[in-house]
Amino acid sequence: MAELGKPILEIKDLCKNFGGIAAVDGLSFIVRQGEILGLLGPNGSGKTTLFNLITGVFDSDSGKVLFQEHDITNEESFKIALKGISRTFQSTKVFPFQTVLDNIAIAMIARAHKRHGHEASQRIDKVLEFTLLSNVRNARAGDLTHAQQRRLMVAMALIEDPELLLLDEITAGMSGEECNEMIEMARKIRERGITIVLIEHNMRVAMALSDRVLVLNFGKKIAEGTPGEITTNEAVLEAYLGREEA
Amino acid sequence: MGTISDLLKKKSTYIFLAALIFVVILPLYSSGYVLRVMITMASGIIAAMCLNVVLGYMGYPSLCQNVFFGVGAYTMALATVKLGFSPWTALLLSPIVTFIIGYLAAIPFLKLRSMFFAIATLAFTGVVSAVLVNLPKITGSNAGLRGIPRLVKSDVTFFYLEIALILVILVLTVIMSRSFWGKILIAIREDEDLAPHFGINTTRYKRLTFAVTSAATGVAGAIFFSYQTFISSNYFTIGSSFTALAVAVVGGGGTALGPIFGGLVVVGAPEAFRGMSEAMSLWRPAFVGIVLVVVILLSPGGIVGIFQSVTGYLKKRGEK
Amino acid sequence: MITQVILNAVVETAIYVIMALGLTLIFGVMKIPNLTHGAMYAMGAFIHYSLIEWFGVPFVPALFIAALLTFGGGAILERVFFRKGGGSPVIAIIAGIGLTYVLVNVITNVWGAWPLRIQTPFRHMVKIGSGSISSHNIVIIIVSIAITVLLYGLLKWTKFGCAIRAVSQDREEASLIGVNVNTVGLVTFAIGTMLASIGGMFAAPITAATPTMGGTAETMGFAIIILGGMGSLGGAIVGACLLGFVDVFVTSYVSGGWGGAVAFVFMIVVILIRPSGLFGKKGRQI
Repeated sequence: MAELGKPILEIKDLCKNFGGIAAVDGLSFIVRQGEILGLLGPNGSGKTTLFNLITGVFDSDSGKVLFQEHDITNEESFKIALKGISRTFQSTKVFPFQTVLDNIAIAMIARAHKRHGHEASQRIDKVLEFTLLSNVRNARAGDLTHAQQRRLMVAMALIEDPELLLLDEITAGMSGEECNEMIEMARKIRERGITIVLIEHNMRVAMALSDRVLVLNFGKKIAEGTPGEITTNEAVLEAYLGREEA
Repeated sequence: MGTISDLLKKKSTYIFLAALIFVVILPLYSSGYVLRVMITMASGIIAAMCLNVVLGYMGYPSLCQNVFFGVGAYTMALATVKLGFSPWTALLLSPIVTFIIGYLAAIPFLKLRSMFFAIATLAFTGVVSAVLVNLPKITGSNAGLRGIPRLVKSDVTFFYLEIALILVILVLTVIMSRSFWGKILIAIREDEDLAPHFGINTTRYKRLTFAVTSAATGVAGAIFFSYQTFISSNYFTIGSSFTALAVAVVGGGGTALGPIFGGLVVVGAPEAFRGMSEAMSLWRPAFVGIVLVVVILLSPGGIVGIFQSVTGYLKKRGEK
Repeated sequence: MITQVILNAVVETAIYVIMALGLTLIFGVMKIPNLTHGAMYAMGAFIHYSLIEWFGVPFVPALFIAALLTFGGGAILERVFFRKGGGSPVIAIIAGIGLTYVLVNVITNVWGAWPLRIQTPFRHMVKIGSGSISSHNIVIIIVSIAITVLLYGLLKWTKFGCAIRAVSQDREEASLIGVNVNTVGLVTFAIGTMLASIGGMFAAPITAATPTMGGTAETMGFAIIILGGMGSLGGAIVGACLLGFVDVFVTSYVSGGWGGAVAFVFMIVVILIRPSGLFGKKGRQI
């Protein structure tokens, strides 16, 4: 198990309502530096909403989001990205009409001093190699295979040099082989010191990668612990399987 | 420098230079009427080039371009006629005033997307148009203001002035499109919600782009109405807001040269018809309309888009 | 005096209701703003005029014939130019602009740019309180109400009306359950265009027919449906009442030129604060 560091992300009593339905309901937890935290829960349990709240897509109704002890609650998205949080998205979001290289160029544009020159192209080459996209660098992003596009999202998130990486069902639509590649990638990302929070529906991936797991249902935390502890947790089983036994 | 010798090798450089020489010599042999048409066309091209940055590169269909043309023009007119400034001083004022108004308009309007943005800017044109008509003490309304002094004496020099402006904007547009700014605009155009996640302050860049292009359009307006020496609110109705749009769309959005081709087609071609028959000039708006519809439906990339597909096609055939 | 102003406002509202219903119908089903609406408003008036003056058709039958003709015209426009479906509204906007150029130019060249006076057979003046209203205007009000009722009936009680509502709610779902989305779009566009031209036909005897008469009408139409909620019929009616009254009151009591500007300002404010309008919701259907 990786060494647990200081808290890098702290969620305090976060609440978000959509038209009367609580998507996130008084959620509180901590993410520690250097760990991989798995975020599980049935569909609609608030996981993506949580990511959206953290990255400034939505404003929360109440509660706090603290990143490296700075309050980033309801901050603007671009500022949050500049502070060191990167993410990928549940449905693939890249710039489809631009080449892979241009996509990455856009992703790193905000950091002025790293935009040009030899150092910049080296970093780009490394990221492309890491995400297995070197051979398609000049292809249009929209022409890539599904898995390649998902990896492009990872590449774009990585080029920003994040401290915290949020992965939203990154393996969605991937084959078993591609999932394994992704697991490898995630592990290497963590080895670089980047903290990861990942939403996963693929149990195999989630359990293989996560140091700790958080399970949500109806926007609330219903369980927290190691992968082993979670799989035998009553509340978790009930949430996923429903009340089958009388 | 490597780039200059590269440039010398490309065919397009020579075509460009030839065109440039042609354009410079042309006015010396043209009648007063033709010159007038060319100056009008040049103004339209400048306005379209600015609109092109907002619509073609940034993806925001602005229908209020002629508002800024008018703001610049009225700044020139009022500063010279009512306040007694020299036309060159007024020319310096125009972009400043237009920039401010453009930036202020940007704040609320750029919160809107696509269709709503288009309609809001259209309404904005309507409001400004009504203001211009209904304040005759200030703007002279339909009767207009006369006696705007000319920046330069002769028509020919005015033409050169506009060509110079076109070249400046062309160069700036090309530089912009290759720089980080261009990439940010493309990101905004393709997925405005995604861009901030990479640290891009979309709001700031949208506003600046809008304001700067407005200012440039204002300069074009100031120059044109100095040439004309007369201005009236008739020029700034909702109907006239579409010419710049037609030029930008027909030429090809998101390319630096597009508006130039667009201007040639939209403004120039009907005038060429004029020579053939008087009747043709009656159908000029219909012609513009037809070209607009045909282009937008068949080749949304405009003339430049057609050009690119043709060269692409030829290249592929050449490879076989 | 105020009675007269109110009467004028009611008439103006009636015409705007006809126009706005057509516009909001098209938007609700095809999700595009129809920028040929104003041109067809004008075209309706001119076709009507031609039927009367060139072919000797009496006023009322000419109304019906012209309405049918513009229905067909709208169908052709949709089929040839607007069959974009869920395509980018920007393309539809620009195509609409281009077509308006063409249509207005055609009108100018065929009928001339001078305002045409059209005689209405309804010339009787009726006194109401301190104001008076012509029977022509009363007919407009009746027609407007009739159209509203007919449209409502169409949507609520006919199979085709159901189809229209389905497509405006969710185009894909509708096609999945077997609705011919293209036909619905075609007919809706044709109906909308016809309504625009009916508005023009009735307005022409009051304001005289000019090629550009559709310009203000169309922008007013947009102001109305944005205020009321694009795609909402009830919203179109409420919006028409509001803006019709505001326009007439401003024109009568403040000054002639500012009526239009007020509508535009309304439009901008509504778009900024509540783009879905009074009765619309995001993706709101009819």
